[in-house]
Amino acid sequence: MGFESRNNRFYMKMMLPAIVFLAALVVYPIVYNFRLSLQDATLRTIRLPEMPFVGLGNYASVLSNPLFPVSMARTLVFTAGSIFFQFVIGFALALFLFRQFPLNKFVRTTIIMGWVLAPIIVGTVWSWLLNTDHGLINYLLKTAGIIGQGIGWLTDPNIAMRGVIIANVWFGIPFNMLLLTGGLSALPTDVYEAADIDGTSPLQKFFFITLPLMKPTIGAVLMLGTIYTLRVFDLLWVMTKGGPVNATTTLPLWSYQLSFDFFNLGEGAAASNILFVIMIVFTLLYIKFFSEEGWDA
Amino acid sequence: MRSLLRKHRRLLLTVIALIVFALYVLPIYWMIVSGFKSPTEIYAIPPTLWPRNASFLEFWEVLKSAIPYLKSSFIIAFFATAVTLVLGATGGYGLARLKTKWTRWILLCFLIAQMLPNILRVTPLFVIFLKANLLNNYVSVILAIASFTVPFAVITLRTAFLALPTDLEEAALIDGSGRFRSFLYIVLPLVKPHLIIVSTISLIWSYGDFIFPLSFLRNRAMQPATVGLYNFIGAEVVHWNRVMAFATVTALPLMIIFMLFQRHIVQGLTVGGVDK
Repeated sequence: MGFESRNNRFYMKMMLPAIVFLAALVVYPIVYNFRLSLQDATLRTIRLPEMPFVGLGNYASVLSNPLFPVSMARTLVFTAGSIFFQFVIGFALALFLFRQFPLNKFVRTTIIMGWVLAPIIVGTVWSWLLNTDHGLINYLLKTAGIIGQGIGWLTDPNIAMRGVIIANVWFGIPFNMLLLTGGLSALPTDVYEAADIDGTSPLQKFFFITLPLMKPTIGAVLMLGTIYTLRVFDLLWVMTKGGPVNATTTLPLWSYQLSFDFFNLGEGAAASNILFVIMIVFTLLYIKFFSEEGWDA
Repeated sequence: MRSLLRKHRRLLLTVIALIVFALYVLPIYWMIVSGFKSPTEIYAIPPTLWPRNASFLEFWEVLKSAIPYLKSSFIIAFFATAVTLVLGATGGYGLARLKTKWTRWILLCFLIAQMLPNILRVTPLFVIFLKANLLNNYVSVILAIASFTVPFAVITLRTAFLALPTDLEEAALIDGSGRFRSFLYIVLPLVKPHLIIVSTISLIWSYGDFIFPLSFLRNRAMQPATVGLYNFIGAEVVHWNRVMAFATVTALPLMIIFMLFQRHIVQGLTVGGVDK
């Protein structure tokens, strides 16, 4: 028994509680979810000691449900729309607030407050701001003469997706801005000094210096953004509950509805496993290429 | 034009900054102000920027009805954060120091766990807690919340422990103090800033969590403020002033945490690269 292995035994003991916890509350539920997705788990069977197995029946009914392609499409639009706007605006703000002028730190700090407020609060406040008849947004748009009648931001099935994306972008900008600011502060300054001497224009500097140097940060932010947008639930649930007429039913919402509105937990588990497969791909890609932990397996 | 722009650059930047500032302050301001308006004034057109006759009585009523919910929120946030700190500190330390071929695989498990959606866990945990008779019990919600705060804490604190030199611990060992004592009294105080970061983020997340208490706590007396707010919207759909008052009350603890620990929040987000 060397010093090293005695050390290792102590470190293993230290790690044991966290590992037991991870096994019990992350690994076991995931395994259990797979099992559940193969069972008939409804109000009728849930109390039975052993719920009947139905093979891939739940997957078959989920995949053949007309709401499956709908929720996939909603997930895609919601994720792409949110990522695009929160990234572009977040990047613009990061560049803008990176300059030295009075108030820049103060403004940056204020924006971060948007992230601290829970999604449930953000969703509630935006529901009120986007209210069709009495919301501030419609009032301002009407006063400015941009629209004649109030827009049904959350009540019109053709527009509701835009309404929830606006709220989610507002919530997502602080995080994007913060990570991109972190990337900007790590850039070498001498390259810019050299470019200044050469008389490079600000636009050229952005496209030929900043963007290429920021590539790793941009990749990480987009990847993390995708992972975190794919799993949005609270904000959508409080704003629209997936409505009107399934206009905002993303995969997480549909899975939740199957489990807790229709109490078909087997189908809910199957739907969430489809999301799991999508997310694990993005997660592993992120860890492989962008994680700061330097994972190279 | 160009020289004019250059001359007034600082002014221009400040003006744009103020617009951005307004985009983030206005929704929060509107929430608070709407919460103090009377049931008629809330629907006034044009909307009033400042309540003409603030209805403190109605706000006070909402506040009173929110108190039991806030109490639940505090209980859940406190215990979830306590669990997170204990498991995060010990687990992060072990993971930083352990040198085996398994270490990186364990780290990978925590990294994946941190990114998994809660929707994936809510259905199986519901059945598991149902069978264990833990529904309508704070324990179920605290454990479920810790299932995403603990991986974050382990990863963040592991990074902090990795940066510490090991000779301090070795010196303490030669001194004859126990390993766990040296961890507790020598190593832990050195990562105090990171412990504050982890506690702050964990408090924000567990206080703001919605899906687990929504699904596991059907007993209204136990529901936290996030679920209370959600119920309130359903019940008070025409009384937006009361809904906004409830939202203001719910947001208040988060705003206080933000004002006290904003530096730590920023560090926690950038160091861990985490969002919620």
